[in-house]
This record gives sequence, C-alpha cells and structure tokens, in this order.
Amino acid sequence: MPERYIVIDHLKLSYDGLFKADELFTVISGWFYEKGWDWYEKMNEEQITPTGKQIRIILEPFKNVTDYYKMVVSIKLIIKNVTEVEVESKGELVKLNHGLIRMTLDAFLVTDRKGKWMKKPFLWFLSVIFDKYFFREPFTKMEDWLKREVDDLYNRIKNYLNVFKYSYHS
Amino acid sequence: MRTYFERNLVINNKELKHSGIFNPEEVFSAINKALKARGYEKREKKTEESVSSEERSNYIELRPIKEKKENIALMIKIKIRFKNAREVIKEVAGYKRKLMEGEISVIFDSWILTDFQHHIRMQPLAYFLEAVINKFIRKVSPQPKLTAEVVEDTAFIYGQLKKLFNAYAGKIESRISEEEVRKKIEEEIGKDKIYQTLK
Repeated sequence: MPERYIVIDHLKLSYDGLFKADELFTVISGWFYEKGWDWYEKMNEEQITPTGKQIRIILEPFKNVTDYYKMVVSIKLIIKNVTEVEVESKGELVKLNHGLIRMTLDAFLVTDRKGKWMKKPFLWFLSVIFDKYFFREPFTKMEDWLKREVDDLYNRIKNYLNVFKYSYHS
Repeated sequence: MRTYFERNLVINNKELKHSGIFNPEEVFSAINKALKARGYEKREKKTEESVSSEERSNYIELRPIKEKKENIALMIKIKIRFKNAREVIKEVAGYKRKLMEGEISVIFDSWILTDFQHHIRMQPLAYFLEAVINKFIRKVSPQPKLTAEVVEDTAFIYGQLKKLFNAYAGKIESRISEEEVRKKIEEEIGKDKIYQTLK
C-alpha cells in the first residue's frame, strides 16, 4: 500500500441560497478537466423527499505527477433540500435551485503510488529514509503545489457562488 | 501537515464588534497584513454563507499558524461573522464607493500547540526529571514565553482591526492603541503571573 500524507484537512464551505446544481457540478468538473486531473466519482446518491432533493456526492480526482508521487483531492458534496424556484432576472424568468450546500475538501499526497517500495520490509525502510532525509525538497514542493491547486479550486467555487472571499494575497 | 497533540487555550473568545459600513476586502487585507507582520502562515478553514433576497450572512474561520520549533506552534483562530450585510453606495471623500452595511463580529481564540508527547514525555526518566526540575529548581517549560508571544500577536491583530473599524465609524479621536489592547488582554489572562514565573 502506498503511503498517504494529508495536506489539507477538512477545508469547509457552506452556502444557503440560490444556485444551479448542474452548473456547480460543471464548475468543479471543469476545473479538474482544465488542470489535467483524472476524474473519479466515488459516490453519487440522490434521494427525493417531500422537503426537496437530498444529494450526496463524493469525488476523488487524482493526478499522477511523477512515477513516485500522486495528488488526490477528496470532495464531499452534500446538498440538502434542493427545490426548484423561478426567479425574475432582467424581465425574464430563470429556473434556479434553492438549498443548502455543504462541501468538505481534503487533499492527500500519495508517495510510492505504484507500491514498488512496499514489497519488502527493507525496501520500505529505505523509502522512508529517502523520503525523510534525502528527498525532503521534492516532497515539500509537491505539498505546496497541492495546496495551491486546492486554493485555486476553492476560490473558483466561491467565485461561482459569489460568497465573500478571503484572499491570501490581499 | 503536522499534528499537534497538546493544545493549550490562551485567549478564549475575545470579541471585536462593529456595526455600520465596511468593506470586506479591507477587513481581510488588514488581517492579512497583520498576520504577515507577525510571521503567521495563512490558513483558511471554513466559509459559510446564507443568502436571502434582502441580506446575506457569512461566517469565515481562519486558522493562521506560526511554527516556532519542530514541535511547537502558535495558532490564532479568527472567526469572522458578517450579519445582515447588504450592499450600499456611499460617498467617501467625494468618490462614490460600493460598501457593505451590517454587523461584523471578529472572535479570537489563541492556542499554543505542542507535540512533546513523542519526545520527552514518552521517556519515563526524562519525564520525571522535567517534572522535578519544573517543581523544585526552575521552570524549564517554554510555555510562559509562548503565552506572552501569542497574546502580543493577538493584541496586534485586534488593534489593527479596531483601527480599521474606527476609521469606518469616523471615530479617529477614540482610536485605541495596540499598547492599550495588549494591556487589557494581558490583564484578562493574568500575564503578571507569567512574568513572575519567568523571573
């Protein structure tokens, strides 16, 4: 089993208001497509209840950065009580969704993604020593890269939902 | 990402409130500048927003961290809540500006995060010696110095925000200085005791 290091732990976004569920999904998938990530949809569940649709989606897109490193982003998207509403915008009726979005983002860095260094205890020991002492710099670089990617995705989603944005660069 | 097993709360729920006009970008910018000045790494934890046809309410939680040593870090949890915020256009110094009007509440929780569990505290003899030295000879724990530092940092950020809010309210004459804020917070957490132990 490859080693999995957590880089972003439970970054949360919650939004209660108007949005378009399919557009939100397109924003997320579009970002991963643009950045060349591989798509992996772990779960997609939808229930229709009297209070509206209850949607649960778990995405785990990944990117094989090198032969050794892999970046994984886990997105848990829970949308509660989704109802369809019609809103008048510029004299036209627009169909939108109303509901509560709860999103949790986690990011992992996977080392030895092919599990080549896991075959024997001595190889595993060597890989730990190399990771810890000799190849610390590439590991840190990958971590920073992943942090930036998640930050970009998070801002893209916030831009779509038009929430107050806390910017790191202001 | 490091995990710190021991968490020590130094400042609990220190609140700063403002009601009236404000610019969220300026608020975030003031926080960012203050954090940079004090050497904190910016980290965002949570954003929540609720929008209705008339107003919006927001909650943003930041957890900037300053790593002191391999197993010691300082963290200031900043919880920013915008309530009943709505867009307004105001004339400031002859120019029309798009601002927000509503209530802001900024809550500070300051923490000292340590991870001695896997170092000194896993070795019985070292743990025993540390306890004996702490009790009978002198305090070797870095805690008092760290407490003083995290209090100063929090007071600095609090002061910067207070200054900004006062500027919005136009109360320049009643501006509260960083020194005053620091004294107030130090009194609240009983810093005198900490200095005594340091001496």
